[in-house]
Amino acid sequence: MTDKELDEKLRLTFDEMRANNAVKARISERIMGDNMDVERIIMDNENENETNKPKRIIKITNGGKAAVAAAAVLVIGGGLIIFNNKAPEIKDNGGANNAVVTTDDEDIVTNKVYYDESGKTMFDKFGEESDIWELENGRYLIRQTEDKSEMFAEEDMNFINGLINANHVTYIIYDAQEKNIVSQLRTDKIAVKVYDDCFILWRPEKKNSNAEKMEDKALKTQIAKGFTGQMFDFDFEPVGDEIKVKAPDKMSMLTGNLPEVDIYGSVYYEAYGMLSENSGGIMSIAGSKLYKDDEVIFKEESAKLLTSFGLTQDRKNLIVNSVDSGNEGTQFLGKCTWYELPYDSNAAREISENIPESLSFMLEDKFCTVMNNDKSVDLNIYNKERKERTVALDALNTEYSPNSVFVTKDRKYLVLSYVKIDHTVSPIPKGEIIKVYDIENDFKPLCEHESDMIVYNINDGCDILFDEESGEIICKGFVFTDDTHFPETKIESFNINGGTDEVKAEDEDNGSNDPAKVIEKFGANSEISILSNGNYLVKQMSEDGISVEYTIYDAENDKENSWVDKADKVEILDNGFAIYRNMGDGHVQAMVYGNDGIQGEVRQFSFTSDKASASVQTVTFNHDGSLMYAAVEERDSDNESVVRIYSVNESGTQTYLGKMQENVSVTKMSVTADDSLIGVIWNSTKGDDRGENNYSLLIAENGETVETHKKGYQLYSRGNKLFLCNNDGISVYCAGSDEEKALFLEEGVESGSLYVGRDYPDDTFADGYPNYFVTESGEYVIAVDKSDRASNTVKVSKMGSDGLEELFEEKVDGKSIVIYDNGANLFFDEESGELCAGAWDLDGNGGYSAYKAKVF
Amino acid sequence: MVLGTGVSDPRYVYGQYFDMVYRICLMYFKGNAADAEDAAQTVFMKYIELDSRPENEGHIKAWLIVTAQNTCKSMLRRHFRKDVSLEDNGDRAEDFTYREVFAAIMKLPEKERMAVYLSLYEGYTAAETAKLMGCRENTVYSYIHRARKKLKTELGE
Repeated sequence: MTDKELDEKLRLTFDEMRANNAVKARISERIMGDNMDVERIIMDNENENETNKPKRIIKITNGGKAAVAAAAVLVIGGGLIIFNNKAPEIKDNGGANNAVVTTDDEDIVTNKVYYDESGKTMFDKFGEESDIWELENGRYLIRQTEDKSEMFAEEDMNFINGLINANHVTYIIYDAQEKNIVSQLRTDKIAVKVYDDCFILWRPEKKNSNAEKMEDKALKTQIAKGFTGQMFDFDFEPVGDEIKVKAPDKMSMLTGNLPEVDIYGSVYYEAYGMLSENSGGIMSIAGSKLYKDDEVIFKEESAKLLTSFGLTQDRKNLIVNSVDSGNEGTQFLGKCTWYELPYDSNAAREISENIPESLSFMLEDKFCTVMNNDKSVDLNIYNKERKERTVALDALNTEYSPNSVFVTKDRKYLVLSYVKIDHTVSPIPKGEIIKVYDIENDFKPLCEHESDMIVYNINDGCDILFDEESGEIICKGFVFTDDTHFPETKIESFNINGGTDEVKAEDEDNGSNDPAKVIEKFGANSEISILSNGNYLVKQMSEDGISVEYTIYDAENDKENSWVDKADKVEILDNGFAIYRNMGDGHVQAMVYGNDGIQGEVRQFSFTSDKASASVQTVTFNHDGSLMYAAVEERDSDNESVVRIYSVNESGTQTYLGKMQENVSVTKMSVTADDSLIGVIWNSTKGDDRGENNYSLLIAENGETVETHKKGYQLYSRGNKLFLCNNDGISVYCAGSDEEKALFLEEGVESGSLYVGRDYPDDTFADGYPNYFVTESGEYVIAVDKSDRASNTVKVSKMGSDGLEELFEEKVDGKSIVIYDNGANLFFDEESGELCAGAWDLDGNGGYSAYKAKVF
Repeated sequence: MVLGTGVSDPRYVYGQYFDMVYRICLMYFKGNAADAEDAAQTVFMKYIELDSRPENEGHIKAWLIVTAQNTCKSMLRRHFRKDVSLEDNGDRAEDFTYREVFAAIMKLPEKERMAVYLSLYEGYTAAETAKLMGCRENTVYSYIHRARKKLKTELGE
């Protein structure tokens, strides 16, 4: 089948892919009303200042089909919905009330945050004292207490986690799209932990004896002798049986420390030994233990203190934070240990940091911690083997400590709350800053919101409603009035876009994406490439000459993330880059990274030859990094070498593609975007032309090779074309496909048209570097003539069908511009015509700066 | 306020581009007609909601393509998929060639499917397709090349 025949079949098939008229009419009616004769509804916004409020009214029908209301009458009543003492008590493990209750008001949900045009919020709807979580399926879990006075205990810091003194609460699952209360449950399980796939309600089993109450008072916290819990899915259906956790003999539990249940059903909980025999009735904690089911997995000793534990939101990872004393007990080292579940005590990964406790969470399969460092608040990202990198989120502000962290449902945003506590004055927090970072844009700060309220625990999404589409955030916190620890509820909202301008304004002072500044920032001996998201990848050899420091530089935000790798080969791809390392013995390991360096998908490639004598000479990647191509030298019994070309995919499937002539060494390969051509630059290793650069082309698909008999110095793959650069000029190759044959079309760029070193041809490459660059589009050629030893001449030409049209020429005195064959340190904006390159001073002082020119 | 006039009028846009949006959604949901309907409906809802609609027909089309992709991705993330069988082809079910090619297209990876559709059917250049898909031109070439190769194999050359 030819391409043309296939395309025709595809066109016919696409043409047939359509909804029938009944479907079209049905949808049309849903969204525009009968006869498609409906006016767009925009409510008058009477208060001009309320800019955040949605202007449109969208009615959500019970069938879940959104519809624009046909008349502007949908003014919101929106009565407060509180089920105080109204909902029937339901036996926890017997299932919640699953009868769908439709609210009788005409509330309209326009996004996750606001539910009506007047800016009323979910908190208005369910009461400010409610706690609200957005569940993974888009529904909301609401917890209402029946009596605010029951919520808090004076001098009890645990109140911030909520409701531990209430006797009963009501949980509601609310479907905002359907406007339905899906289910509700009044229960004495007053505490809840929400996960990605379920939530668990817990009831602390309090101690009642006088001695036990004395423990509470002495410790200024509340002691439980156990917990009883029930897991529910997001339809409020109970999952499994009731979970009972009992504190072991002579041990107690704290009501604020809820047990956790992993996806395998194991229960983790912390229990304390109490030192009650002290004189004067002063009691204290004498060590704690962390249990998995009934097995002790962490035992607190004098030099090893458990500070906290928790499961990640997916319930697949256990995090244990502890403090170890080192150096004979004089220095305390914070330690965070990450266990992938199911729990295996031998499979822990210790993430030691010199702080006692970390905020931690998972992003895909990466483990992340947030902590204060010397100068900054750092996000550390770990994979299963090692720490991948550190992102400086913010400059360190000693007044504010990172306190709680939340990742939005779509995994696009990281929300970090910083709490302000001056322990020398009071343990009561005095304020909070909430900062939002763009995960997909390398944790770029988007906004910050400072408040006098405390948003104490957003780890499981409690009381933070984030509408990713509009950027609106509403969160609930507490404000502490003077002379009392009794907090008042406060609700605030802000928009991540509202904060952007402020951040940008700051950026203008701090950074710039002018490549000249980047070149000068990193200086000589840096290979700088621009990635497709605008970040820069900077490669610098370390002073030891063995390792390489890689830096992702976000010039807009003046942010750097660096790591050290022993692999020194890097290739820029369409959406990232690849770093690879020749391990010897015919083995190559490669990592393909996304544009953000580490955070994105990291894919590993490994090639291993089955020939004992094999050695990998070079590798390259196709444009999206889905295939690695390896040129592998293999020797026969006569010690004659032949280079074979293989492709390797991520799953390790190796495909033999073809072989080169005998006794050559491949120095460079490049592959067209359609994977149809592999260009190869090679040297002879025997004979008269030994060491000369030569060139051949290899067809990837059937192994056919075609010799071009041209010397090759540089090789660029641009679209489906390969550009070969040598002293004669530039030749262009692409695979012909009209007759489905492997034809090579040498497109006739006029030979010699880029012959920039007429008097001293060899000096075109006088400093050992080739000096042509073909821009990303394949449309422009930049050449540097080095024939004059005191200056360079920069030429820029446009590649047309009839040859090259010279656009620009400039003699640059006292400078030597280096064009790397991977295009590093040369930046050409094809829209603005701005050219920038790294340039050495020719005066011998080793100076290095950016050369800039305006080509058009 | 009226829906609008001229090319930006939702009624016109709906009539003109519903099939295109539906096709994109159908491809994302691998032939699940119920999900494709919901997604297409959402796309047009979003269009109606726009404060400032594109005036130029090319921009409207591009907006719909990008929004359709985003809507489908968002729905897929939320496991929105309903338990409904593949597209009810109605009278097309008898058309063996259609079913065969349709099935082969649905087997392609999502991005290859979109690249083929936008460039071959909608007539966008590789550069335009790249912009609509948020990738580089080279990648589009790559997607199309690989898709063709797989389709030929799948359809028995």
